[in-house]
Amino acid sequence: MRKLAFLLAVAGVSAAALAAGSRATLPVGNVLQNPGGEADMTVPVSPPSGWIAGTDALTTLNYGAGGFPSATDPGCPNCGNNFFYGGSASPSAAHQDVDVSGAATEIDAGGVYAHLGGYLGGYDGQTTTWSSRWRSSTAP
Amino acid sequence: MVVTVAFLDGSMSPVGSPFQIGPVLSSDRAGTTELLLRTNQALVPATTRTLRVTQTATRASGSSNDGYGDCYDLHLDTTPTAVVLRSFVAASTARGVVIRWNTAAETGILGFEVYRGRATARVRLSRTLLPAVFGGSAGGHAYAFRDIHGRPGSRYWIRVVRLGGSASWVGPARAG
Repeated sequence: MRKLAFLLAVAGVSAAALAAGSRATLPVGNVLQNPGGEADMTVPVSPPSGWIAGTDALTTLNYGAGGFPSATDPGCPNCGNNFFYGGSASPSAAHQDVDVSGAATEIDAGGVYAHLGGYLGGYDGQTTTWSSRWRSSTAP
Repeated sequence: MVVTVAFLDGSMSPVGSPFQIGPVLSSDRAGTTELLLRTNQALVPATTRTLRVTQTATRASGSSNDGYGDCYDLHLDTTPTAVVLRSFVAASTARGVVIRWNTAAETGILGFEVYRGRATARVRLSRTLLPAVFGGSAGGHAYAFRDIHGRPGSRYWIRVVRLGGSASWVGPARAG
């Protein structure tokens, strides 16, 4: 919840404003399950709980593991104990589906926005790029 | 690491165009180990019934796939987010550090202030508020600020000031 509050604050939206600006049928708050790997009590684990593995799945790992970010490296405040990382395979992926059919009337009328935020990074000078099935229709 | 949101209809077929955050490349991180905030937003297309959220990491160098992600947040609302920074980077030059940021929307935004330092000890660099070019509207703009005393490794923050006087922090960006 502290993570969510921070992200909303960064986005310039208060929780109160969010609630006031939303209608009852819109889901309130973060709709993602396990958005930072904190639901994974035993790590490393792949795929993260709440996420469906791709051909090669992402892994949940704990801050401070040897050769990986520590909790003191720059990143999200209140980052918890865990984070997601690519693992040994490349590319690796995981997904989850969020049912928003309860907001069908408002979505079909237009004017519903999806807001996405998150902390992304990598190790030292190593570069990770990306590819996905949606790449052809998304500007990098 | 890239996180993508795709819109699917009742038959789980794609609707409209997906949107994403990332990637954060080594050049964005100035070659250091860190995670940077990225945000984005999109209008949910009509007939959408499912949001498919995919995080993907692809190794370009090294022996391990070290794309990292944390603190994801996805929420729905009937108004665009007040401000979305598409990018926020700091680059060392022969004359200090140039900080650049791009907004995707500036609804309700009065302007920006630039700071240097750690989260617990920031020093304000911009003497006056840098006004938002599209303040109060959904337009976006590109901004730049030079810190003549900046050095490689310096950390920078943007304080986003809203029309009502409230503010929020974005950062840090580390000078490469």
